[in-house]
Amino acid sequence: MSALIAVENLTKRFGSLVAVDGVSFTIGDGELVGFLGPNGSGKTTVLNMMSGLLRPDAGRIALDGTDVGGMAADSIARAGMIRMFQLTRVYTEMTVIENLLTAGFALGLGKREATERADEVLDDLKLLAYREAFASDLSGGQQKLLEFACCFMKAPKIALLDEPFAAIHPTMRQVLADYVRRTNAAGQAYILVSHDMPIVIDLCPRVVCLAAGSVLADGPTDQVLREPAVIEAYLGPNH
Amino acid sequence: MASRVSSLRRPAAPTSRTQLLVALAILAALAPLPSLGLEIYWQGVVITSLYYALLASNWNLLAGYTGLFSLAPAGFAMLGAYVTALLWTYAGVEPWLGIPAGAIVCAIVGLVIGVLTLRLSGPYLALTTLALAEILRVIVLNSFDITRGEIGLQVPALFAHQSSYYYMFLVAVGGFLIGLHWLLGQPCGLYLRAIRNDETGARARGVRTVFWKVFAFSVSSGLSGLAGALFAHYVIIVSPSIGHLLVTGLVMSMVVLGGMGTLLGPLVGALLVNVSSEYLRAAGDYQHIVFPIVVILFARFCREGLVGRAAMIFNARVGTQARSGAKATEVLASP
Ligand SMILES: Nc1ncnc2c1ncn2[C@@H]1O[C@H](COP(=O)(O)OP(=O)(O)OP(=O)(O)O)[C@@H](O)[C@H]1O
Ligand SMILES: [Mg+2]
Repeated sequence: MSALIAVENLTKRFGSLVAVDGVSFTIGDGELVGFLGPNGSGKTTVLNMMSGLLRPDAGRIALDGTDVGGMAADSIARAGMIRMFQLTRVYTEMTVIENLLTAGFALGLGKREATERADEVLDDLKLLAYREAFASDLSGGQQKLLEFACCFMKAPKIALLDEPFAAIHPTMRQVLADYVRRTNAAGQAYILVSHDMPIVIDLCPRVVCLAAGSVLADGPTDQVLREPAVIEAYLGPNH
Repeated sequence: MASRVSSLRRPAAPTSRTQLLVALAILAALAPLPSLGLEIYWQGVVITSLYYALLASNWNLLAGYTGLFSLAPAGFAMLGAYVTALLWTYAGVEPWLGIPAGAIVCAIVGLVIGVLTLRLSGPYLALTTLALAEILRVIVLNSFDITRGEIGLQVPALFAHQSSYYYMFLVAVGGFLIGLHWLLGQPCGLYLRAIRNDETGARARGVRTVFWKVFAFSVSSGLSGLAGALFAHYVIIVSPSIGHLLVTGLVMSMVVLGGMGTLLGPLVGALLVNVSSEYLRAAGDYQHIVFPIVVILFARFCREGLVGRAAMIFNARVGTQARSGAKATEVLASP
């Protein structure tokens, strides 16, 4: 059986700093995996390499059995691995609907399809009232929702979400979490990077914990969170 | 619910149909002037303005819509002009073939430069186009046996009357703006604007950024070459002054003044700058200082340019009316 995602021995150095140090994991179809780890443990760097924005120094990344290690970021997105950034990236000088259509067209949707899908996603995420607004006029949290929406114009094989819940109001957070839960139940695979423990525990059956660039633990959420090494990495040695 | 969305600071829509209509109205208003007795000299000023409007709109396609900074709009115009001039001089090729040939050569050169430089982000395109523009000029200046250097090459006129050129350039600008408006309404218009706005984001969401940047640069180079070739058969003498870097500076100032990333801005900027420079002529070389200062002032106090500012004022007014019950039609910002 070939996994949806197979990452092997992924390594990235920045000068003398080894930001990601021999990371390996696999993710199966329809899995929702949480990524935990202290600040600077390498989570974003792993996503940057998976999405093609950063060249790994070593290691392999396969999507559905295809090596995507050397592929351009836009090809990887079109191949079905799409990501959301920790620091929000939307087209602020374009309207909400233009943001969504750009994503839809780029992923191969036609005009009618893209428009219908955009309205559907906006409705799901309670953004329909802002359809014609410029993205720059949205609040920070709403911009995050918009970026999230852009990732789902065409269902990806897997969505890589980097801190989607940070700085989002609790009600919106619920809207987002519900969306993730609902689509995951329908088979959508995710990597969810988050520092928000309650949400990770609630949503993710499995977590991977990184520390200092290496995988510290990988397994069912309740087990991983009980491991002494994880507790130490997160809360410090005195706990 | 729509009242949640403020339209007070709403900028000019880059794809505004209203702006296209205003531009076409300006061109239509200019059209009857020769038959109403506009002097030959002033007809020439308008023709040059329209030629600049073509270069400015092309540069705007790059800088205003795609976020690419080329320093060779005048360089490509010169290249286009020399292609038709050399073809005529050495092969007897008629202008109706020479002019499109100029456009095609420029598009191909643009394609090659684009492929070489646009994979990288950073100042590479600006540096390469600057080098290209200057190298082309130096080659032309130094190949006296072929190009007759500064003296230039003589090419045949297309028409017997000045007014015919006048109409030709009106049609060329109108056609270009209609084409640009159409292009921007296609998915590729969204891609170009997305690239300018956030290239990394665009890439991460599947936009073929390198392809579309190369596409925009090649198209813009080809059309600048077309403008230069048309202009060549108007001035009849093709010389390296067409490609002078000062011309590129002038074209940029027109776009900044009129409004970067607006459909109408470059036309307005070209007319204003070129017509007013007629009046500045008395100031001699000092006129070269005026436009840079205007550009700096605009960059500091009116980044959206005249058309951008007008659209914002207009949208704010329409927004106020909308709140007091009038119909909300965001005219200058309407798609
Ligand atoms: N472009 C870069 N150049 C140099 N160092 C970098 C670069 N990107 C990341 N790093 C370093 O690599 C390490 C891992 O960073 P990364 O952003 O992957 O951490 P993270 O787990 O996402 O942290 P956080 O939870 O704060 O988002 C950090 O020490 C960071 O300083
Ligand atoms: Mg991070």
